Formats: sequence, structure tokens, C-alpha cells
Amino acid sequence: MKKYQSGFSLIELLFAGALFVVFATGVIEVLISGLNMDRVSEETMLATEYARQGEEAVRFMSAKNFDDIVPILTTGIEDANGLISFSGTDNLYEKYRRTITVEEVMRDAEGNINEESGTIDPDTRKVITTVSWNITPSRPNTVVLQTYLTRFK
Amino acid sequence: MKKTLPGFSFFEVIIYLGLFSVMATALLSFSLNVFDFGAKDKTSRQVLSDARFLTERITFLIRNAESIDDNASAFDTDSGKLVLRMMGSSNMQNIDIANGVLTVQETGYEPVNLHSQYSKVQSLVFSKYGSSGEHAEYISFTATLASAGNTESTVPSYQRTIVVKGGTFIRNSQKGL
Repeated sequence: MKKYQSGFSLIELLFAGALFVVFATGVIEVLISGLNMDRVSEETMLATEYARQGEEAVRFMSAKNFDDIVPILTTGIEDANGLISFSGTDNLYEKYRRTITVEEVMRDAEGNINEESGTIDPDTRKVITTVSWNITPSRPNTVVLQTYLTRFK
Repeated sequence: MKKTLPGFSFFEVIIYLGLFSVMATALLSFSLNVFDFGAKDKTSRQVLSDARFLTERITFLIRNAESIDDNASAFDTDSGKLVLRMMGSSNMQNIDIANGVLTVQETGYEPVNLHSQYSKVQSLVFSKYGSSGEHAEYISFTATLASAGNTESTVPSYQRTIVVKGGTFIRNSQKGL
């Protein structure tokens, strides 16, 4: 009778290989997603700060002269000679593109802001600041800040 | 009949050794990479969290200021300085850089560092728009923070730099408030 050598069968080997691949994939997945999270949180922080800079600049314009806050689809900000004004269509800082949108605001009979219907309030504007960038060329991201500005007298 | 002793043949031993060295090399370089990665990640995180705190703090101070001491402050320079009079207080807050360390000092108190010892501020540029006479003032700033290279890290040469652009409107100089 022929004696078989002890060892792994092909099935066992394949099974072991498959198990290894599953575990290795899990570990690598965790490593990569951790790395990605760090990067996303860093870039989101920088983008948020850049958006806030834009929003605050509009707030400053509004405090100086509310009539400068005219409804506009997309605009950038220009600072020259200590003055800040709307200019162009966007601002670019490294890979972060910032656009500002100013919209008219409607209020209902009770004076509450109503997105759908009502009368346009000339003393209130909605300011939307958007910063968009690509985390990787195929992975875009955006930060959006919204605020209402009113005329102070 | 000669009995063969159980064991490995010479050929098998060679194969095992070859396989082992291949695996060991791969594993070693992988684990070294992982350790390096951990150290770099730690450095990065430290600088990022410092940048975050510093930005929040500066924004908070400017936002709650009543006015800026224009003469004592330094605008549009790499080592910017900002002297703020706070709302409801006669004390000034003095934001200043010396030797890569950014501090804030309230009149009559010791200066307080705005970041950990593991990072240094390479530059902080303040720009001012508007004036107190117009009741509208806005400060924009650009902070450049770098790792100081003194973390307990296996990669001390690893450098991390973060540039934050921010800006804040001074609320309390607003008309009607």
C-alpha cells in the first residue's frame, strides 16, 4: 500500500491563502482610511478657515456700506488699498477655489424669512460662501457657509 | 535495506532559506514603513492641532475686540503683531511672535503660548481693512506653522508645514451695537 506523505491539500492551501488575503485587505484598508481621514480633516479645516475669511470680509463690506452687498451669482473678493470689494468670479488660494453668492431674501407677512414666497426684503441679504477643492483629482470636496446680513442703522 | 532518516533534503533547506529571506525582507521594510508612518503622522497631527487652536484663538480674540491699537500693531509683515482692546475691559491683548513662538499677553499678566513646543510659527501676517472711525474693521491673517523637529520621533528630519488663511470682522466696532 502506497503511503501518502502528510501535508496540505490543495484546497487547504487555497483556503489559507484566501484567509490571508481577507485579513491583509482589512488591515491595509484601516491604514489607508486612517491616512485619508487625517488628510480630509486637515484640508477641510484649511478650506473652512478660507471660507470664513471670505464671509467675514463680506460682513465687513456690509458694515461699511450695506448697499455694496448686491445680489450676485458668483463673485470673488478683491482687496486693494485697504478696501474690499466684489470682483471677478472667484478667488483661488493654492487648490482651494472660493466663490461668494449673494441672494435676495423674502419675508412673509409676519416678517419671518421664507425661502419660497413673500416680499423681498431690501435690508437683508443671504450670503453663501463656497470653497471647493479636490482631495485627489477624482475626489472633489466642498465647504459651504451661509449667513444672513442685515442693514444696521 | 538501508533506512532513510526522516528530515529535509539539502535542496529543501535551500528553498526554505530562500523563501524565508524573501519574506523577512518584505516584512522588515513594511514594518519600518509603518513605524515611520506613525512618526510622520504624529508630527503632522501635532502641527495640525496647533494650527487649529491658534486660528481659533486669534479669531476669537479679534472677534471680541473693541478696537485695535494701530500704532502698537504691525501689519503686512512676516512677524506681525496685534494689540487689541477687548470688549468691556481696559486691558490690552498683545499677540506677538518672538523666536518662532507666538504668544498672547494680557496687560499685567505673563505671556501665554498659543501652540505647543513641537511647532514653531514661521510667519504670521496681519492685514487690516477699514478703520474705527468707519465703525467697520476687518483683519485677515496668514499663519505659517511648521513642526519644530523635536517630537520623540524616529524621523526627526521629517518636516511638516501648514499655512492657514483666515480673517475676522471686528463685531464690536459695528454701528448700532
